[in-house]
Order: sequence, then C-alpha cells, then structure tokens
Amino acid sequence: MKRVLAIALNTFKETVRDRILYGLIFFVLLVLPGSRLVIPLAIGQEIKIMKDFGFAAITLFGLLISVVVGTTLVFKELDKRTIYVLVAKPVRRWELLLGKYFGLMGTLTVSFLIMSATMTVTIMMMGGKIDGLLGYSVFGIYMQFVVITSVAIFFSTLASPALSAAFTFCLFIAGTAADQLRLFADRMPGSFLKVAVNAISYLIPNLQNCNFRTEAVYGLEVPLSKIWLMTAYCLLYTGVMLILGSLVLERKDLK
Amino acid sequence: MEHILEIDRLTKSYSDWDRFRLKSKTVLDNISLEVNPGEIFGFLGPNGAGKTTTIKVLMGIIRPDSGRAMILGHNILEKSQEVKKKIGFLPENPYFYDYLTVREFLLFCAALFGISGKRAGNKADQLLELVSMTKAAKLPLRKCSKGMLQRTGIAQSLINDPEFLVWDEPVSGLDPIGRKEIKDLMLELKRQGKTIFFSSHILPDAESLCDRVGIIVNGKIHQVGTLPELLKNSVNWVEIVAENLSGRIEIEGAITEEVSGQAVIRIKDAAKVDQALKFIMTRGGTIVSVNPQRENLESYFARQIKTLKENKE
Repeated sequence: MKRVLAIALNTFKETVRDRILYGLIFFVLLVLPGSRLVIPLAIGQEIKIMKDFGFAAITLFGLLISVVVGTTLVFKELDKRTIYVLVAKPVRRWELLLGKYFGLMGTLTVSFLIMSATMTVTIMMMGGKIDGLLGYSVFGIYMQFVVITSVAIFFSTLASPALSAAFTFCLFIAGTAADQLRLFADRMPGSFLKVAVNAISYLIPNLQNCNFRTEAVYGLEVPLSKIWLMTAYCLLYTGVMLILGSLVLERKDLK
Repeated sequence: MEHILEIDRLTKSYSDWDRFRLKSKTVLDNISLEVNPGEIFGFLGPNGAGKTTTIKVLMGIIRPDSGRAMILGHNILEKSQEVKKKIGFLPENPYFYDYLTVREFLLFCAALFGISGKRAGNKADQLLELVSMTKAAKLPLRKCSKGMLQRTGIAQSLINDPEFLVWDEPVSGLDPIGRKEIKDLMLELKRQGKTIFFSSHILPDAESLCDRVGIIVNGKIHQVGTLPELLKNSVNWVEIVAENLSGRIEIEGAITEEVSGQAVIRIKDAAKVDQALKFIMTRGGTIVSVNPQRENLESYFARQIKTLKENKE
C-alpha cells in the first residue's frame, strides 16, 4: 500500500503542478460569483437558478479534469518512458494504476471542495439556505466522477488519449441517460435488439443514480438508503473498471 | 547461486503491419548468456542489435515469447518482486518526471522501496554527492541537461543499495570528465562487490571497464568472453624496441624507424620475432621491450560486424 500511496502522491503533485488545472479552478472561481450578475434577470428564482448553474459548472469542470487528465496520465508514463523506472522497481502494475487513480482523485477532491465551497458562499451571499440536500447533490456529482475517472483510466490503458477521451465522454453522456436507454430498449422492435440495448444500458455506468439536483433545487426529500446504494454502486463499478484496467496493463508490452 | 544473471534461449519478436500484411520481426533470437557475481559485464552491439530489448525483458518492461531469465537465482517472470528489490536499473536516455526536483525524484524512488523519512533523505543526499549533483538537488528535472539526467538516473538506480545493476548506455550523453567519473564509480561499485551489466556503444570505455563482454548482432549473441579470450587471435604485429643498435637493420618483413634514439621494429609475422631478437643481440643491441600489439575492442568489433555482413550477403 506504501507504493500505491507514493505513486498517488506523485500523481497529485503532477496534476497540482499542471497549469491547466489552475486555469480551470480559476475559471470556476470567476464564473460562479460572476453568475450573480446575470441571475437577477430571473426575478424570484435567483437561488434555484444559482443552484442549477452551480451544479452544471461543477459537473462541467469535474468532467474536464477527469477526462483530460485521466486519459493522459497512463499515456504520458508510456510516451515519456517514465514507466520504465517504475516497472523496474518492486511496483506491481495494478499498484501503478491504483496509485494514478488515487492521485487524480486527490486532485479532483480538492477541486470539488474549492468549487462547492465557492458555490455555497455565493448562495449564502444571495440569502439562500444551505441544507443537506445541497451536500447530497455535490456528493452525487463527486461520485459520478469517482466512476468516470476510473473509466478514463481504464480506456487510457487501451487507446490513445484522444480516443480514450472520446470513449469516456460518450460513456458519461450515455450514463446520464441510462434509464432512458432502458425505456428505449422496451420499445425496440425485435427481441434481439431489445436484449442488446438493455444489456448495454446495464453495462454502462448508470450516472442517473447520482443525480439529486432536482431534489436539491426544489427541496424534495432524499432517503439516506438511496445515497448508500448509489455510493455502493459507484464504488463497485469503479472497482471493476480498475481491475479491468490492471488486467490490460498487466499484459501490455511497454515498448 | 552460480550466476547473478542467467539468460537461457530468450526469444522475442514484434508484429507490425506492412501494407495490409502482419509481419513478424524477431528481435531476440534464442539468446543465452551468464553474468558472474562481482563482474562488470559489457553488453555490446550495433544500433538495433537487441541490447535494449534484452534489458527491457530483464526488467519486466516487455515479456519474452519464450526462454527464461534468472536474476539472483529467481525467474524474473515468476518472482519479479523479489528480483526487483535487489536490482538497480538505468534506462537508455532517461527521462523522468519533469515537475519534480532532482531530490524529490530520488525520495519518490526511495518510497517505492519502502524507504521513507530521514533514512530516505540521507540516502538521497549521499547519492547526490556520489554523482556530483548536490548543488542541483533543488533543480527541477525539466531544467536538467542530458548529463545531469544521466547522473540522476544512476543515483536512482542505487537508491535501494542493489546487488545487481543493469545500466543501459550509462556513459552516453556525458562529457569526457563525466564519463571518467561514471567509469570510476563503476569500478568502485565493483570493489564494493556489486555486479554490473551494462550496454554501450562506446567501446574504448567498455574495454577499459569490462571483465567480460557479450556481443549481440541482429538479435543473436555472437561472442561472449573475457577481452583476452576474444582478442587472443588478433595480434596485429609485435613491436620490439631496442637501443645501441648501429648500422642498417635488415630483418625480413619488419618495418623499422628511429624514435628518440631507439629503434622501433614492427614485425607482422610472429614467427620472425625470434630471428629479429637474435639479430639485435648479435649486433650488440639492448632489447628495451617486446610487445605484441593486439587489436583493440573497437576494431575487433568492427571486423566481426563486417564479417557477419559479408557472410549474410
């Protein structure tokens, strides 16, 4: 576990010292408070719109960090041949992958904390109430990226960064509409198509499980069991992705 | 454990698409060699011969198609963790995490061996001093010259105090002073009982360092042995230096010249050396030295490659 931690810390340093990340966070810090200038146009709905806007901004920037950094981490190790030094040390390949994943999750966690704190302060300054629902929603978005980062890292063991980013992005979009895909499958003509689309809808990550934004915006109740189930589902999916990524990396010739 | 490294019929090929056809190229063809404890072994060969591929297989970077490699008595595929704890590796043209400083990188490498805290700091500082990089400790790796990266690479390969070192082109990219320092370091490490396996293009350096060398050409081991063994049949001429010789020197097949009052006689045919020595004695001359002039590794190597190419044609 010490080796995983060492690699995770190194990956965290790598992403933190990357200027792109600073650019993204700086942009969010500007966008969230800046949105207050536009929101007065929606009279009486300011807080709701601010929450919606905040969730969208956090999702967008989380997606950018997760996809852009996640799909390049392993590729950069291979491309710059820094992986040679790691593999020649007593580091198992799954430890390398896990270290990379945890390092990036560290960066994402810090980014999420900064972004959600900015959003909370902005809402409070607008006179809005901060409740547990807001926390559930941000946690739900965070769990989406726990899954999507593992998907990005899995694809990066198989394909180039551009292809991995495209696959991850498509899977994110499909994942946010997994329930609709199931409804769509029921209306497909022919049993084969029905089974195939249904199977796909269960294979892709169901990110709709993580969406509590409507509840947060309209103040609807969310049962705690739903949060637990969602967390367990996301962790399980992430685990499977990381195991698959490790298996691919294990068999790979690092030319 | 008889050998530190034992390579037994190692084979590796790569497949690549060539105009819609998948072509397989054998880069290592049944190679076998052994490295003995405490020796410096030079792994020599022209570009593309298979040196780096062999090293990559040994380090677990790529997998062989067939064959077996044992390091410190362990099969590298079955007991790679045990093996890797006791070895140090320097890759060719090393490139490290450019966002780290030299010292941070060494601490990171130490952490991968479970060395942390003060012990890791002390070890990193010792190694920085060993490779003359103390002043550059806080320099980001992206600002390091090629020579500095090479030294950092050597330092990281020693972080776990390994028994066996595998260095891919350790002196490439270094200036003459840097090369001398690394060569001295290799001899010092040998004195400490470490075994070194290194690849090189710089043959005079290999010649001055190696106990034994292996020559690989086109993925096949061509020769393995000590330098005297490899060069034993390659006496170019015998050089005799004599003093107090008067008159004309007439020895069949010899080239003679006078250097600083001494006669330097070069004889190609070793059988005529006795005749030359008798001639000098009878003329009252004093023999200063008799030296067989052997081919050096560089010309031996070039000759072997040329012969191989001619045989192929």
